[in-house]
Amino acid sequence: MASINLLPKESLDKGSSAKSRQFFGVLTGFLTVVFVLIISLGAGLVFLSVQAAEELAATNAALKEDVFAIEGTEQKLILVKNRLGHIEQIVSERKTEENLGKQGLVIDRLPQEVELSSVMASGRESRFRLSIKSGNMMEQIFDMLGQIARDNQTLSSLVISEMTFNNIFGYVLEIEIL
Amino acid sequence: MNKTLILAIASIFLLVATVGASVFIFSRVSQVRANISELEDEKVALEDRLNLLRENQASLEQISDQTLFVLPPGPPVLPAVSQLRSIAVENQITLSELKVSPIAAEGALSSIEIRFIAQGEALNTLSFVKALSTAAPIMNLSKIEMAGSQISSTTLSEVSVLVYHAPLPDRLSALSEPKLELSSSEQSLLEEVSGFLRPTIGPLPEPIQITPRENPFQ
Repeated sequence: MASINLLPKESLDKGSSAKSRQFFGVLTGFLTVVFVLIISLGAGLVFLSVQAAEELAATNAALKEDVFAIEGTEQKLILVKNRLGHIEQIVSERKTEENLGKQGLVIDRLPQEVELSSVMASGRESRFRLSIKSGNMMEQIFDMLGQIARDNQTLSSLVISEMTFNNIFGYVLEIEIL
Repeated sequence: MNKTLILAIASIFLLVATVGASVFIFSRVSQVRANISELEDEKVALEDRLNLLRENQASLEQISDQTLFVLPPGPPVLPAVSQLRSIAVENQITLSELKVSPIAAEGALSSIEIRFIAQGEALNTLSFVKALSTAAPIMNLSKIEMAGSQISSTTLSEVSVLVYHAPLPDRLSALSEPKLELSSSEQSLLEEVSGFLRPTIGPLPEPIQITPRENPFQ
């Protein structure tokens, strides 16, 4: 059996409309408060940020003026960096000096009886000749060369390229060292 | 009913306005914050640069002079020859047949070749060429060919050295460039270069500009 509401229809509508009005009223009030809060907080934040940016820009402008005031010092620093860059490149190309240094490993340890008769060094080649009077001294020189070859990892080759003997100079050794 | 509708429309309007205002404010604040961040980076770079320049103001004068002696802007023929002669005297070596020839520039770096004959004891000649590596202007040994004399301990050596020069830099770095200080490798190289022997003859002064005299008959 269907239920019958005896209250008039208008009174029902009036109740729901009042609730809707109340709901939208509260929502409007809430949104108004939120809107005002966001606008005021946002404006404050933007204002403060812009002010901070302006202060920083002013500080930087003052710093730039200070840097410009000692521009001469900056020029010198740039010059030093520029020269050092080139010098580094020049020093890295010192192959002949490097090869002579390797020859020095042997030449600096030569006994007085051994004579250095010639030296040739360039970027690609590195050799020298030794005049050795006696066979005993030859043995010492071979021992020394072996030790130098073992002790120095920087050497890529240590070669006795020529060995001759004559009555005037004795033994002549030509050593290539790279 | 009408009042409810008006309130509903007002709510929707306020909602849209709140969202719109939030988005606008957020983007504006982000923009300003990004700007602040850039300015702060620039400030740090400028402060670093200023501190570096102030700290090194006194020492840079001497250092830049020394680096200019080591690597001059123009061909350093006279200082190099003077340096060769004084190092030769120190090592009891005699120099002869000096020849100077320019070499084509490789990039920013140019060089001149000086060839000569060095006469003296073998070990003295070797210590002479070794000393050249710490002399200003900077020079690299290109080639040495030494042959001993059969009647005395004197040797004759054909030596060729390359003496370098490079033009001066023509611009300053941008203010925003952060790294201006010398790196550790540059520092150690600078220490090495500071010990380079200066030549007794410095770079030649600029020629005096002579202005032509006015012709009184014109």
